[in-house]
Amino acid sequence: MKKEVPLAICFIVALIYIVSNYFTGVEFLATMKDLLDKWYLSVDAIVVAIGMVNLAQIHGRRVANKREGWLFSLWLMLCMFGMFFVSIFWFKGTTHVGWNFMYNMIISPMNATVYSTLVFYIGSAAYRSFRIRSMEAGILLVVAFVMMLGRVPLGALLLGGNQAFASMADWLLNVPNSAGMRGIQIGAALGGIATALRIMLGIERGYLGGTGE
Amino acid sequence: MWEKIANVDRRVIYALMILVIALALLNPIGMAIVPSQATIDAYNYIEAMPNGSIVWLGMEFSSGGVTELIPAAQAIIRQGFKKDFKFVCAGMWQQAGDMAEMAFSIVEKEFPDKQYGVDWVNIGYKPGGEVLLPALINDVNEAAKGIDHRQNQLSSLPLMSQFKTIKDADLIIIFCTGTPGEQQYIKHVTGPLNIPLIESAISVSVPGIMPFVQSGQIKALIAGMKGAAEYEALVGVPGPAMAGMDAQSFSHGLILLFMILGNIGYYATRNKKG
Amino acid sequence: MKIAAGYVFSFWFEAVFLATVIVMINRARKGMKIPEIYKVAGLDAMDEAIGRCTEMGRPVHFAPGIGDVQNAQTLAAMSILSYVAKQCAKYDTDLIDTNRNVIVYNMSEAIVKQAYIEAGKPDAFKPENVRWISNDQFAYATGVTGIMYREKPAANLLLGAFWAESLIFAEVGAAAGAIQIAGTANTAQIPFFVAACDYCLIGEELYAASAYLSREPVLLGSLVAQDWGKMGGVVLIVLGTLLVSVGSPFLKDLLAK
Repeated sequence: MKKEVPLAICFIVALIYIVSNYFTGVEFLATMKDLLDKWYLSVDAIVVAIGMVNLAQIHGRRVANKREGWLFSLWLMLCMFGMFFVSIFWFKGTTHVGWNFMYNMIISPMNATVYSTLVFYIGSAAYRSFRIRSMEAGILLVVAFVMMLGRVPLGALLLGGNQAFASMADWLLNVPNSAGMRGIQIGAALGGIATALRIMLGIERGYLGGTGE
Repeated sequence: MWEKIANVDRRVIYALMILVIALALLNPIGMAIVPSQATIDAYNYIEAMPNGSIVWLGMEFSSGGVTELIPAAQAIIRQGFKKDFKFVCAGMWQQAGDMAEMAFSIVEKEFPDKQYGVDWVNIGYKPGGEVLLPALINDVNEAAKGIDHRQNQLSSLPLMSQFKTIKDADLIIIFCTGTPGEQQYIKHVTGPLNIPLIESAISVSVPGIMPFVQSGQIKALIAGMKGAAEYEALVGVPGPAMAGMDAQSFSHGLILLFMILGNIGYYATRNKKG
Repeated sequence: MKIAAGYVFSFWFEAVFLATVIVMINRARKGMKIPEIYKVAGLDAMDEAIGRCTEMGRPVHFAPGIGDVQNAQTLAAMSILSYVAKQCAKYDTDLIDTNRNVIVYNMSEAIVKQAYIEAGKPDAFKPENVRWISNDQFAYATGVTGIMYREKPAANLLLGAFWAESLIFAEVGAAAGAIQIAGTANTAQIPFFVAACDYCLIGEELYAASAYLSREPVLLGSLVAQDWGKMGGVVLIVLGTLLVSVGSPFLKDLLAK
């Protein structure tokens, strides 16, 4: 029963979603679907507590044993539990000016900062990867050149105002790129449907743990 | 020497990148921005909308997308307010409300006659992800739990008496950095309800969005910071996107230089070993 | 009860696709011949990558993406994790699995633990190696970056739904000296993985992974059905192009029903 019950739940819930999406006039199923959506959101929020316990265990052990980097682990726990208790007992929600300050002045700029590090990684990835080791790599390099010059005014500046790079970049986006993207997207969509069907029918059970039947 | 060129320490690349971007931002040379057809299409589509149209702004991005999307949003707001558009903003992303406030921060100074609640409303972020869109199609007030981002009752805002559901929008403009994004809008809103959709997306997403533009599911696309800079040029008000194009141009140039050097070093050392 | 407007064609397409999947699975179950599938370099390299870690005494790092459990890519990644965990348990190689979503973390922990139990080494399972980092995208990215710099995995498996953090992971993995196998169906991130990783699974190759690695006939049968679905798509594209070219909106209207 350990495997059969989750598989049955998976099948029934998937069926409810499929039927309520495709068919109208089945109020019961639409209501069930809404209820399941709310349950999912609730579970998603509650299991964050489990994650916090996991983090506390790992980093707590590191602090207790004073392993390398234990100060960072201590800082992590102070920030995590600090924000948690302050938000619940002092700010009492996300509308408090203090919560907005913490989010907009600390978390949001930090997110933007990490996102900005991509500019460095793109530079080092391009330097490392765009070596002409084969014909395909050569084509990749030429296309990268055209796109990088066509998508900024630098290309026109280098050609004395001529928009040739921009035109070539637009053609590359509109023709070969769109063709390839359509193929990938259609294939990925069908793959997603097939995976979902395999899971719904209980044929693929890897997500349950163990090796299936 | 060729070995060194083929294996430049990545920290050198990072240091030069900081230098080039900083110099370009501090001493811009003001490269000419020539609007592309894609951006012109977006501008013309909005320009052709009747005055007083109600436009839904989907702020589907977070702080990472600010540089590329906020300038486009502000340029569109400028164009829209000149045509007396009414804007209703919301989003499936947690920072949707904050991003809308950031975009509309220009209103107080540039359009002092435009009032919150009458000319624009910021509903903000509402949880549920993709599920939010069908709820907005049914009833915006219920989907938003009756409250906007500024904690006002939606029923107290005059604009919301005209905007009961997303079907009341004459045009949908979304600003996206990922998922949920345009595919969810196409699936739930623009496809079934046939409301025109224009998107402003970050550069990295543009290749994947092109099939939707070609099929007409997205009427026009403002692509990345360049698209935003072009839009600023069309609207006639230079902004942060135009200011950032020099920095982006020079960083691209630096990357191209390193790509060339890397290949020279690779072939020189390969021939030596060979 | 009737089919909602705008969904009629897609309902029938899916119904036919489902029937094809069931037929091919039944053929496989009966032992009837099913077509060969082509070699996927990234999946063939999985054992090589784990072997490299075993020899070097360094861990394998596995990231199932940042999608939630509803995302088909995440479920595909869980199937691959099941295989990787089994191999790591077999060869006594450390497996560090980092997660962004807490529900996915719970699934990952159960999968890895079960793999060690099935390998007959329940005591070798280290709960601290399956980690939830953060729900926030870039906090997760920063945490994983730190783990890769400190733990220096010899193999970096990035399989699932990735967004902006994909290049961060790929570059940091390269700096750590890891062999990298990546796979995602997010079209915007595929170019980064192709450029920065040693092997990349593109789009549906990620979904095919569990069938490819296990070589179970039933799963391979569903892959064949997937290909038939693609053939159907190609037929529709060709037919649609021809009809639109002669001015007939028949297929376009049919698809919109």
